[in-house]
Amino acid sequence: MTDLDLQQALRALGARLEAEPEIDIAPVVLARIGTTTPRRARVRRPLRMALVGVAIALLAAAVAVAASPTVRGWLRDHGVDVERSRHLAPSTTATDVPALGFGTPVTAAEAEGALGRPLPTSDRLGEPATVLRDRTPAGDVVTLVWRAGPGLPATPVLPAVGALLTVGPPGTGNDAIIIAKSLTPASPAQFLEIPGVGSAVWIAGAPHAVRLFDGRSIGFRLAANALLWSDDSRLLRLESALPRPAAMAVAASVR
Amino acid sequence: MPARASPDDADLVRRARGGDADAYASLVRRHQSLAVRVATLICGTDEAEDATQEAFVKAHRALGRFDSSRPFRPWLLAIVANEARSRARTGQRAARLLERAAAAPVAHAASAQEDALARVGTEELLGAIRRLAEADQRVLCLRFAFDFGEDETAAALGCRRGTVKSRTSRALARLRTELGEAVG
Repeated sequence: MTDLDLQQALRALGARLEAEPEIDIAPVVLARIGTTTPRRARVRRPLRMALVGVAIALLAAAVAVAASPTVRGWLRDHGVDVERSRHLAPSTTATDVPALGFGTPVTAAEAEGALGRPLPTSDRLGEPATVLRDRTPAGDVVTLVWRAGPGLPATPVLPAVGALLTVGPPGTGNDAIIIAKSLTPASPAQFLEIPGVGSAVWIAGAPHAVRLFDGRSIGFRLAANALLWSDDSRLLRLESALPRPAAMAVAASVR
Repeated sequence: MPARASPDDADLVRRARGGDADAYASLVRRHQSLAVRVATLICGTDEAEDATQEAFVKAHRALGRFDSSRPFRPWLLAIVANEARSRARTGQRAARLLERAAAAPVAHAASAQEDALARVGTEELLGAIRRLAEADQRVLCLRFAFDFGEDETAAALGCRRGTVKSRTSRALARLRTELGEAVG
C-alpha cells in the first residue's frame, strides 16, 4: 500500500461528503449582518468595545424575538404545538412499538386508505418493518417504523427502533393540532432549508417529549432527534438518532 | 447572448466592502459547504453550522482589514477554524466525519479514488484513522479528504506551511503503520 493509495482512498471519502445536501446559511448570515457596511477605519478600543456591546445586545434581542417565534410559528402553522419550559413535561420511555403512542399496527393498504394516498417511500430507508395508524381531530396519522441496523442506529429513548417517519395532514392553523411537543433549552428547535424539500425544523440535543394530539389521554414519551417538514399536502416528521446531515438526506429522499 | 462569467472572490469582496449584501451572500454560498466541513472537523457536527454562521458574520465585520491582494478562502477558513476551535471539545471529529462519508452513497463508483479505497478497505481505513491522534486525523482529512493545499491547511490548523508538510508526512506514516503495511 503506497502513500498515493492512501491519499486517493481519503479523497474518495471526501468526494462522498461533497454529495451531501448543502445547507444554505446565507439567509441567516445576511439577517445577522443586516445592511451594515464592513468597517474600514479603526475605532478607539473603549468606544469600539462599547459599540460592540450595544450591537451584541441589540442582536441578541433581535434574534430572541425573531428566531424563536419563527420556528414556533412554522410549527404551529403545520399542526405542531410546542410548549417550551425549563423542565420537560413528565414523559415515559417507549419500550416497544405499541408504547410509542403513535397508534396501532395496520397493513400498508389500510394505512394508504386512511391517508387517501400512497405511503411515502425513501430509498435510503427501504421497506419499513411496521406501519402504525392513529386518528387525530385533524385527520388520520400514519407512522412507518424501521428497526435499528447498519447505518440506522438505535437511540436510548427508542430501543431497537432506528427511525420513525410520521405522515399527517397539513396543518391549517390553531384548530388543527396533530403533534404536541415539550422542549427545554437542552433540545433547541432550529429552522433550516433543505434543497429540494424547502423549510424544515430540526430538534436535537437532549431528548424532548412528544405525543400525538389524538384527543385521548396518552402522555408524552421521550423522543430522539426530529426533523419536521411539509410538502403542502402533508406534514412529515422523521425521528431517529441520525445526525442532521443524514436526517436531511433522508428527508430529501422521501417521495 | 454570451453567458456571463461568475465574478471572482476578489470582485465579490470589493462589492461586499461597499455594502453590497448580495455580493456577500454569493461569497457565503460559494464557500459555506467547505466551511461547514472544516468546522465539523474541529468542533463536531452539532456545533459546526452555528460556528460557521458566526465565522461568516465575523468575516463580514473584518472585511475592511482583509488584504485583497491575497486569496479570500484561506483567510475565511482561518476565521472559521478559530471560531470552531473556541467551541471544540475533545473527540474523534475527523474520524466521525469520515465515517459519515463512508456511509454515504458513492457518486462516482468507477473513479481511481474509489478503486484505491476498495484496495485499502473502507472499514480497515476507518479503523486505522480512529486509532490516530486527533492532530493526525485532522491534517489527513484537510489535505486529502478536503483536497486542501498546504496554505489552506495551514490556515485551518493555525500553523505554518512547513509544519503542514511535516505533519502530513508523519500522519501518513502512522496511518500506514496502523494499517499494518510496510512502507510502500
